[in-house]
Amino acid sequence: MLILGIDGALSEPSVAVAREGLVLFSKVGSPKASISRDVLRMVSEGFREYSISAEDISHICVTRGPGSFTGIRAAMATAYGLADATGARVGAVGTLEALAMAAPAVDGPITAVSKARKGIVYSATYRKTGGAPELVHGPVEAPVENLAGQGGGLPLVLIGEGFEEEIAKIRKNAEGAVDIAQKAMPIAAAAAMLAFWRLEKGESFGQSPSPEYIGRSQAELTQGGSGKTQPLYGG
Amino acid sequence: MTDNELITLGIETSCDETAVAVLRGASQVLSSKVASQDDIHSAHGGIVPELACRRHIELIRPMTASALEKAGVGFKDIDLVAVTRGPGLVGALLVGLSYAKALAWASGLPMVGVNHLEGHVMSAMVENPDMPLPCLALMVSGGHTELFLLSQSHSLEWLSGTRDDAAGEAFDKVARLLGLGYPGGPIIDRLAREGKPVYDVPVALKSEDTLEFSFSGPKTAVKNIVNRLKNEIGENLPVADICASFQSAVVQALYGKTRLAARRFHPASIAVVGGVARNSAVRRTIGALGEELGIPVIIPAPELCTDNAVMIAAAGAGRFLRDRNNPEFHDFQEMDATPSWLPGV
Repeated sequence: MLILGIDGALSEPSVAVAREGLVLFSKVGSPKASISRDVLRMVSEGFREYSISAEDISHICVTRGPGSFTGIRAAMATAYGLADATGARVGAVGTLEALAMAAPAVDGPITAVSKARKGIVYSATYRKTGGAPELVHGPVEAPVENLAGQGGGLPLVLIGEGFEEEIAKIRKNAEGAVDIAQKAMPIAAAAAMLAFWRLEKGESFGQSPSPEYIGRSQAELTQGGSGKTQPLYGG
Repeated sequence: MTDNELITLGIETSCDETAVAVLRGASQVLSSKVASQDDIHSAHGGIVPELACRRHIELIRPMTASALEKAGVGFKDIDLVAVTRGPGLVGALLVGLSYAKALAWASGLPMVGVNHLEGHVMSAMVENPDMPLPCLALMVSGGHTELFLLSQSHSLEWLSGTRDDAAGEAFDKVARLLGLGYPGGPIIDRLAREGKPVYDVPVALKSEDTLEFSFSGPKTAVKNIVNRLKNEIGENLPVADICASFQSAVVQALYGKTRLAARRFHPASIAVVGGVARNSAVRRTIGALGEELGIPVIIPAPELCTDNAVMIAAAGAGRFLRDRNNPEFHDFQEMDATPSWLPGV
């Protein structure tokens, strides 16, 4: 079982291949690079370096969000294209779940965070007990300073992005200690590992996953109001 | 494989249509599927990019499967992938481009990134593969109003564009002003046939020796006419007459600048392409220009005027067949979307 993991939801896109539960390779793109430019290049380079052909891939696991709307869709469209060309099955895992999976082992809960828009983040809290992360709370879309209340008196361990600039405020308002966990593996590798575990347990993998947006789009938020969304004109 | 046997999968997601087509050779259409999003965007009076992108990712796979099924071919039968690379909404372009790149790369196929406007120009050759060249192309839609010259070697030279609104954009804005709904072009076209151009809507840049267009003035003139009439007669406006007056001004501008360009560049044919080329007055008026100048005027069938993937497949196949070994067709992993890409400049 050769699983290709792809993430475009975070600011640094990543790809990875796992074989029978072991990560063969992973690559992380630049936060400044275009996801469209980076993702297929990284897949192509990794396949060449590890003598993998596209036909060898049995499953593709893409992160479905929440995170960058455009990045999620570009990664998902890439996964669709690869799957249609090769016959590989394509499924998805949540971005926050994959982030929690990518975290090092911690005793208490861990809160995974991805960027929504300025001052707003998506977050969910998980408990890791050796296997796949178990959801405790969320996912929710909320102002970044609200993360301070996520610990519920326990030490707050954050992983992900979108909270760095407000970390001092979060630390000040949190009831307990606040730590930032570094990813033990790129999120695409975590996605591939999650897919492997699920497939090993005989869980459904899906065949054409959809993005998970959580929040409403800016267009929906402004519909009917004064509306800052500027419609474009077709063609 | 001979030129006539080439099977091209065309993909178009630059704006609010998810379109996939399969073409044999340079112009034989095996299938063409277009999913419009008018129902989604009509509530907003225009296209909302995020909503357009969300629909594209839902539809890209089922539309591709449907186009292949209608064509009676499978993924393994495809010889070439052609996809819109720009201009357009970046998030929308990235759905089609990412899918196409991955599909082509994993299948070991060449891929052509096509300019959307070039695709529209080439739509004229789908039904008329022997269209005389050079051809003066008027590309007129909701996002563009441009004049191009398509040379005998199939290269595009940009001649002029609009200083402000595109013609189709002006149609949509006037329709919104009159409370007519979206998209405005077809509604105004229908109402204009029931009215008379009795109101004074200026033809912008009419007497100036420029090939540029401008449609902001006519739109503002309609706004002023509406405000004046509301003060004089209330809300029961003569909408058909207003539509006829506005449409007449737009069509005269398109006609005048196309005629001026034809006299300046002496093309062997004229093509009118893009969504606004569906407009009945545009087809009739600019169509008549051919008789005056003694050259054919080619206006594609209405389904080839609005955004579609046949034109992308045709443009891609044409470029590939003329230059099969061009490295860019085989080394495209890092190809990115180009949201602001005006060809031939």
